[in-house]
Amino acid sequence: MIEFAISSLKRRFWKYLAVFFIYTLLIWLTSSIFLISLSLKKELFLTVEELPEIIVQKTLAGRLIPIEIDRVEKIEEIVGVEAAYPRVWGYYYFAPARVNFSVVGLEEIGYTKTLNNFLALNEFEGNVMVVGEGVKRILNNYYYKEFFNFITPSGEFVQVKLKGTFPTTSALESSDTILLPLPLARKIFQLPSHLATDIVVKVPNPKEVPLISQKIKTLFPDSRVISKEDIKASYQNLFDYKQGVFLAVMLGAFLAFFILAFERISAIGQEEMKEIGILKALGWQIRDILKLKFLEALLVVGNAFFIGIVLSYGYVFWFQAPLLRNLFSGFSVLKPTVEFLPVWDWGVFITLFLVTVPLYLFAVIIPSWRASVVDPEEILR
Amino acid sequence: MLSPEVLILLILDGAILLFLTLSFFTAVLIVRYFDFSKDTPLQYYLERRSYLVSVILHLSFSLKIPLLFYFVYTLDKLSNVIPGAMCAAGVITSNSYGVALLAVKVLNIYLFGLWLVANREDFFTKEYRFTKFKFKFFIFIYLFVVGEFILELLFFKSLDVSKVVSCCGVLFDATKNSTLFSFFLLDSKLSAGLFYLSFFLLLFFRKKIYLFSLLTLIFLLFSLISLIQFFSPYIYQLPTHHCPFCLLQKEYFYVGYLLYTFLFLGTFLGVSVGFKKFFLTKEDKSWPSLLFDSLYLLVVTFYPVWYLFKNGVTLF
Repeated sequence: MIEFAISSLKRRFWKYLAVFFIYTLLIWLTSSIFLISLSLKKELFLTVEELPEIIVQKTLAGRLIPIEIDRVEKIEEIVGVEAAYPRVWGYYYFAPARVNFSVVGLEEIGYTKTLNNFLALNEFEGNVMVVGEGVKRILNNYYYKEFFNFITPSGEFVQVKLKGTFPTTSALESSDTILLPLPLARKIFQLPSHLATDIVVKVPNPKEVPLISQKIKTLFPDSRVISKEDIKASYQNLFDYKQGVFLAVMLGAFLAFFILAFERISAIGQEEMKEIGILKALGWQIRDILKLKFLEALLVVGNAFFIGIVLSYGYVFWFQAPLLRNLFSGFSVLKPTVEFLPVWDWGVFITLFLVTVPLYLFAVIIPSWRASVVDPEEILR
Repeated sequence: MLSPEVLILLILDGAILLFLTLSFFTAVLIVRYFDFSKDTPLQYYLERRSYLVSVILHLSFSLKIPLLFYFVYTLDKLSNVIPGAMCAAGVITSNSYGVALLAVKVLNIYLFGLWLVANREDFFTKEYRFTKFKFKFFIFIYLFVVGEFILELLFFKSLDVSKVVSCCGVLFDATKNSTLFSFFLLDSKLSAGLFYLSFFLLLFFRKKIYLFSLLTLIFLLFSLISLIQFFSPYIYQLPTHHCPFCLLQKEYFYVGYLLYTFLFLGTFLGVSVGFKKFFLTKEDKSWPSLLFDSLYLLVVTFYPVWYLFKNGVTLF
């Protein structure tokens, strides 16, 4: 039966070629988008995984303001908290290039493992800074090769030596980052020494996080407490939303395609009619012909699906998805140079399969049925 | 909720509904006018249309089964987003439509399966003896499918990302009087006993088809209760964890998919032999049903035995 279906397809090669081609293209496009989004999500989650469990910020009239450092000790007294650190960080607007750098002040201990490893290897004191690759690029464009002049809020210049760029596993997190020693960061932001931007809290047991968050909230009612899980959930939401919007847009294309497929298969030529007539005269039943038609459809759509997926894998992870990547990473000047990390997720392929293959089969039901119920006698005459 | 999974579920169920609606009109015509002894053009037309409907139902059915699993998978995934939910159980109970929706989904698959059985038998008879019957039956099924779609729309529409829901640890906690599933709260040992008892009754009455079918339903009920109350803690190796959904997660090697496949297949075959005898006047053997029931029983029994073997104690 399969051989028969294949030979039947071969005979009508040109008829199915357009359907096959467009379908492969559609699947390739959809699956590329899914893969890019999945890969970015993986990368972000890698970053999030390294974050501290809880971040405590202070709000005033709903806006974030610096938080008092003496709160650190009170938070550390809560049972279950391993440690809490004040952080000094913020954005520095570099007017000539119209970009924001993330400026992070560091003490001897960083907040993430990559930073810690980096700090352990390098001396990091005095008027020095270490920058991400994106920052380095921009500074070079403006001829800041050896040093950079920060302008403080009161208008003074602070000259800082550029010590190098830092390596990271994930490019998203740090392309726009400048690392400075803590005192220097305070100086640039003119942040008094009893204040910090926020406080990070380390909690070894993840099950205690909700309770500890609650306790901090009760201790300091003016604070905003963000846990790692919150961040993850909101990322997941964001990416689902992006994929969902995209899929909704793609639906139009799919619909158009199904109408095309419907038309193509409905247009049964004289030759094909004759063939079906002969088959029926030979004793084939309606059911057998339907089976044949479905087998043909399955062959077309199955191969298109397979090839589409393979192509999109090559496109995203081999060629790093030219053009499409802009859709997700945006057009910012400091756009990180992301390497898409290969991912494999059964869920996504099942999702893709379900959105493409069954709908195609539905589209061919009525034409196939129409073809199968023709009267053999009428045709052969 | 605009996650791709939800979108796809709605699209596919929508497509199925659309085609079933087409078939529904045919079904009404057939129920009214079908008469094998006539040779009017209408009769020929209806005979052809009946093939179309059977293809549509075949396709819908073979799609509905993966979609059910996909539905549960979607819920599992949504549990990352919905605060408090740790698996599908939390998501499905987060609003009042969830449990009904799942029940109707499972029921519809049984009904579709039975329809296909009737369809097969109908094609075997030369004079289309059961055509009228199977289309009456289809009209009945169609109502459920419409109901399912409406429930699904309502469910996803009222799914609230900011509302905190309970996790399965709370929902299936025997000590608390949780509102849902209170019906399921039999004593653990008792539920396991009833489960094995119903299985032996099945074995014993395997020749009496009607009784066998009826007992199959009881077996299904006790299987689910004992799975929640008795077996799942052994599978999770945690005496407080009673949840029929976490079984489907990676941590337990997706054993749930295996278990539910055996259970639903076995009980479906059990129900279908009764259905065949009553409506289609055909006697069928009950051993295929018993085979899958036993496979389910073996897998599920393996866990407590293995636990006892490794730890030397029982949980209850």
